[in-house]
Amino acid sequence: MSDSWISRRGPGFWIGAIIALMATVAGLAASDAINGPTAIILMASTGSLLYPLMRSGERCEERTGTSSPAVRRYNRGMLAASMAYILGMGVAVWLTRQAGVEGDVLWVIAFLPILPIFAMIWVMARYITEEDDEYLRHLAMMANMGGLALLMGLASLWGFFEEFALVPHVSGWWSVPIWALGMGLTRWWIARGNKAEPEA
Amino acid sequence: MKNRLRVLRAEREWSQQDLAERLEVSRQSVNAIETGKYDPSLPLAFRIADVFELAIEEIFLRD
Repeated sequence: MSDSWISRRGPGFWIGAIIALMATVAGLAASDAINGPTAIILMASTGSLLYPLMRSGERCEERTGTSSPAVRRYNRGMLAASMAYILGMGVAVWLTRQAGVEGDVLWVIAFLPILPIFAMIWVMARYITEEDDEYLRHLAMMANMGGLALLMGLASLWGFFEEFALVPHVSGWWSVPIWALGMGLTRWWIARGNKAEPEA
Repeated sequence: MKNRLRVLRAEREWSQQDLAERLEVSRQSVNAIETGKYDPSLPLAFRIADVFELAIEEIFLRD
């Protein structure tokens, strides 16, 4: 897959492709068209689309003037952590649901997807300390505040709804995807009103 | 805080990218400062003043 082919498609295309692929695999698994291990392997293969997503995101950052050496290090760190997360999650699900692993070893298996999430948090913290461009650092801080606001708001809302048995239980691991969604929405909101001149 | 960045840049026929390279910041930073969406720190304000060879108060104005 050439870089020029990747750059012609925006990050939205790759996010859509990942969601479509995951939904297709989930649909096939739910209808028993494919067995469990095949579904896990296909689901893990969506990780291969993270690289073109990162490259198209970097092209977009270069066009909009939001790129920096720290941003590029952040992108690579997040790509590595996301791939490790998908792999860790796949292996953990396979070991517990297909291989039927039980007992104390579950403590170790649970850490397979947890460690990459800790790595994502560390990559974000490192970015904020390494970013020399004060406006980009300000953007990252605002995005983090947006992510935190969405997470705390939803967690409090859902927590009380759940307390009164109005809604089903939701696992705590959803906190990181919600935080990331909040950051993305905040970045988009700020970027709407701040468009730099195109590259010379 | 108001500023004369866009005018000063136009007088020198510099693009946002030209100014960003001189200041060693992103184009997005130049745009955000120029449009008043972001007020620079004092060290960055001094760098801007140095680049234009002016005093800070000749570039940044009180509201």
